[in-house]
Amino acid sequence: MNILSIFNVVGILLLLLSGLLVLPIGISLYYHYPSLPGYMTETQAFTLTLVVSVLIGLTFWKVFPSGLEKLRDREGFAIVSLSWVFIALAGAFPYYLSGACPDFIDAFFESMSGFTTTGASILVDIDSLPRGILFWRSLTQWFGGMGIIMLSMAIFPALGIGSTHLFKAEVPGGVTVERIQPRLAETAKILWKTYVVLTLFEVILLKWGGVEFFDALCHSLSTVATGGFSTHSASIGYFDSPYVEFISMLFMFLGGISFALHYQLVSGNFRTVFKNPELRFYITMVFIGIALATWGLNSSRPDLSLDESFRKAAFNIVSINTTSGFVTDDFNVWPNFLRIFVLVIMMVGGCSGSTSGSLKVIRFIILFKIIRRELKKLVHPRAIFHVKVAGKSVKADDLTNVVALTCFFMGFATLGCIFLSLMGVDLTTSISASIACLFNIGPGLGQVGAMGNYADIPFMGKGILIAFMLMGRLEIFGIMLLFLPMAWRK
Amino acid sequence: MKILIVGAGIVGNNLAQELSEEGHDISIIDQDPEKIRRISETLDVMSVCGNACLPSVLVKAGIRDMEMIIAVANKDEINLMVCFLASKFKVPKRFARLRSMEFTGPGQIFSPQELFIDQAINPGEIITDTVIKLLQTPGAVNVAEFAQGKVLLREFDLPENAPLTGKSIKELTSLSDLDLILIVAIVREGKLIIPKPEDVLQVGDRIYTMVYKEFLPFLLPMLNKTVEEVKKIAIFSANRVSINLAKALEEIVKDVCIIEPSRETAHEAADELSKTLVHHGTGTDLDLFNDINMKEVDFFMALSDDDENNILSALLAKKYGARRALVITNDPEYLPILDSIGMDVTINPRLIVVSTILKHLRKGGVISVFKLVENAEVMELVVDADSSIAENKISNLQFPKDAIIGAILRHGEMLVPDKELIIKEGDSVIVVALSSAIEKIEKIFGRKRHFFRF
Repeated sequence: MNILSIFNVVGILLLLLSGLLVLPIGISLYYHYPSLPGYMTETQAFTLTLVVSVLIGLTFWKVFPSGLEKLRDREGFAIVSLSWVFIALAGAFPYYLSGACPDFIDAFFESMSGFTTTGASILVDIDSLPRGILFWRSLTQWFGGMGIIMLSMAIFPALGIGSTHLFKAEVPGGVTVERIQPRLAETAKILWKTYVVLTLFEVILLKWGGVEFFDALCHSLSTVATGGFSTHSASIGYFDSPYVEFISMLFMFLGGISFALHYQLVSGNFRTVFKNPELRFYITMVFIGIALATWGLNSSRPDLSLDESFRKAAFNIVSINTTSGFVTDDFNVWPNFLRIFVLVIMMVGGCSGSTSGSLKVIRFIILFKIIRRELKKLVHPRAIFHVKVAGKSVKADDLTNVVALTCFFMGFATLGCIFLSLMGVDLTTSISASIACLFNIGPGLGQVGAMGNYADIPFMGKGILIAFMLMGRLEIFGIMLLFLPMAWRK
Repeated sequence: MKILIVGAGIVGNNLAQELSEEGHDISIIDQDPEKIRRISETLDVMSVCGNACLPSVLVKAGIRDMEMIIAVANKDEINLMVCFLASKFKVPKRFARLRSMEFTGPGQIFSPQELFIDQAINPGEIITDTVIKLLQTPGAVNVAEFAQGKVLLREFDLPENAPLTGKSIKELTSLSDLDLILIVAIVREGKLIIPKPEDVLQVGDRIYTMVYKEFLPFLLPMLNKTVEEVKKIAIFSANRVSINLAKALEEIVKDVCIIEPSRETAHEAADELSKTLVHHGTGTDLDLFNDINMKEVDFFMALSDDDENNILSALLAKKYGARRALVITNDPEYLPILDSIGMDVTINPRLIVVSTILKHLRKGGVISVFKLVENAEVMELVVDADSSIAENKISNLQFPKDAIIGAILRHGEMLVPDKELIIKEGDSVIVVALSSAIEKIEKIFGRKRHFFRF
């Protein structure tokens, strides 16, 4: 593996991150919060981070030779994985330096949770934090949602040369995503434009519904990214407004749909959109989930009217299904079957090519079809069955990829659960925390439930969960590759 | 007329033979020197070995003087290219065989005319059509249509218990209130005979009947055929034709499966078909037959490109319980024995392509031609005013004994060829004739064989 040229690209991406840091500096200068005792102000924290990351970025970029033309898949995966680690590390410093998170591991957790759009938080009292920090949390989700590499592709055409490898490694849904333009840089631009437009729409709609501009902005950033960071401890529940809930729900739902499909919709290709099997499955699943949760809530909680049950069920199911993690109700106290159901839909997630995490609907469709094929094979052992999505056969390689990835996800979830329990975390919490982090949802059950947070997870546990969030976002293979000796052989 | 044929495969070879025997000047191009050698040894045609997509090769074959080009090379691409070049050489009439549904099927982006082809022939499409018509006419083993589909020609096996069996032709009219059926030919022991009034129909005969479209339902009881639903079809071998056929059958038959010996091809077929089950195995694999449950198969269709395999697999399938079998044979030499070994339906794509091309080729009296077996044709002829038979009684015609008038269409009505009937100008007459009689028929109709003139 060509390690030096990998760092060259990492340097470029660190420079890009420095550019992003200008935005929270602006916010912090505008609101001008006082510093916490013993720490620097948030403006200073952001500025210091910016300067350091520019210096490191420049050094990497200038010192290490550029080898973009000779990129292979493995370097692509390594670049993406290492960039994400470095960027999350750099992004952690504002939290640490400003004193929002006194422990560095907490700051790293918060930063990683942001960039991977997980939305798991170790912060206890969110409302009292300075606004620059709050904005930074949402902003990291927004950038992480569409992807840092995607952004850099749209901005630096120079990256376009080896970009196929990078694109593959970062886009959620990996192999199953189709490009909509011949050039990846153009594709990236279109996707980002769609993303920006969608976000602006939400800001306007929230503002129009009476939400303060700052809240509207931060929530929009993290909603469209299906991230889940809120500016309030009570999340969306803080507003207690059906309108705000509806708008957030709508945009989470849209964020869970492939952005390529949004673009098709805007371009008027309604047929393509309507015929998309993944979208159909996704919509059906969300509606069935809402119906089930409404029924479950209504029958188990006599104090709730049907309307209220529906409102709570709809919002929280959409939020969990799209892997956002906003909450309006503590689903930790829902009946047991619903809690398990919530855990299950966490593992499905949204569509490929969207900002949502998790396994993605398309992989579930393929898995179901693989299972059906195996059954059919028992009936006709000599017949040849193809797994088809939308009338097209899925290649055998892609099928094994889906199966392997599912096994990876399940295996790591199990491992995480064992390690967390080993550290003394209770069963419900350790199961749900590893699933919620690995599948990029955020809130889990038990201690890390909708109204709780990750602050009390042991140090080592946080480390594992940080790794899980990154693995989940980059869909495991890219990270695992770094540990494969074969990948490093000359 | 000077005709250039591209492709010396089965069709090209046969067309060259037929057309050169009819007195045309034929040139033929093929890339395979072996084929060219064989043709130059057996036929009196000019043969050129080379790539027909190259203008120089076409010029060598004399394309500048050609009045017609028939592109029947094995690849669509070659045929398209040849027709395009031919249009550049100003060849007035251009035929091409195109196997892909892309050019002839529904949803075509360019019509063949836009691609410089006057007439595109898709044998697969014709086979698919034929099979579907066969399924719609229970018991029929061969189908053809005349007068824009108003007059149906159907070939049936004659079972023992059918009301028609054991009767002579002249007794038939009294048998039922159907006066619009006519038996125009009988295949007995592999030979086609034109029935005379005193001929008696025997068990095991195959009869060609001509029937007006709307009377088809009344004909079936005469043959003791009842409408039996075809529920399960097994097709041997996955090629373009059978995949297209399976696609069409998926819509009308509940259970369609394909057996394909090559794993790769089987995968391609499975890729393209949605409801059809594709099995990997040979056409003679009894384990697989058991797996498919051949006893329940209503129709076994052997459609591979290999005649011998088709025949063997169909024989085995029938042995293992398939109710009916259809075989495609490219080699017409096998046709006479296929009946005797119990093949219910035989389709010869070569005859189909040849008769389609002939149909488009002949003009003047002949509207359409259907080749029954090697030595017999059904022709639809239009009576012109200057023809010798116009305004004549049928009994007055000196009709050869190895030909018969099947039906007469006047203003869209089918008339029985009664002795007293007077043939009028504008009638179209459907004639069944052995090849020995074709020339006489054409003389009677007042013309020699006409071809398109430009």
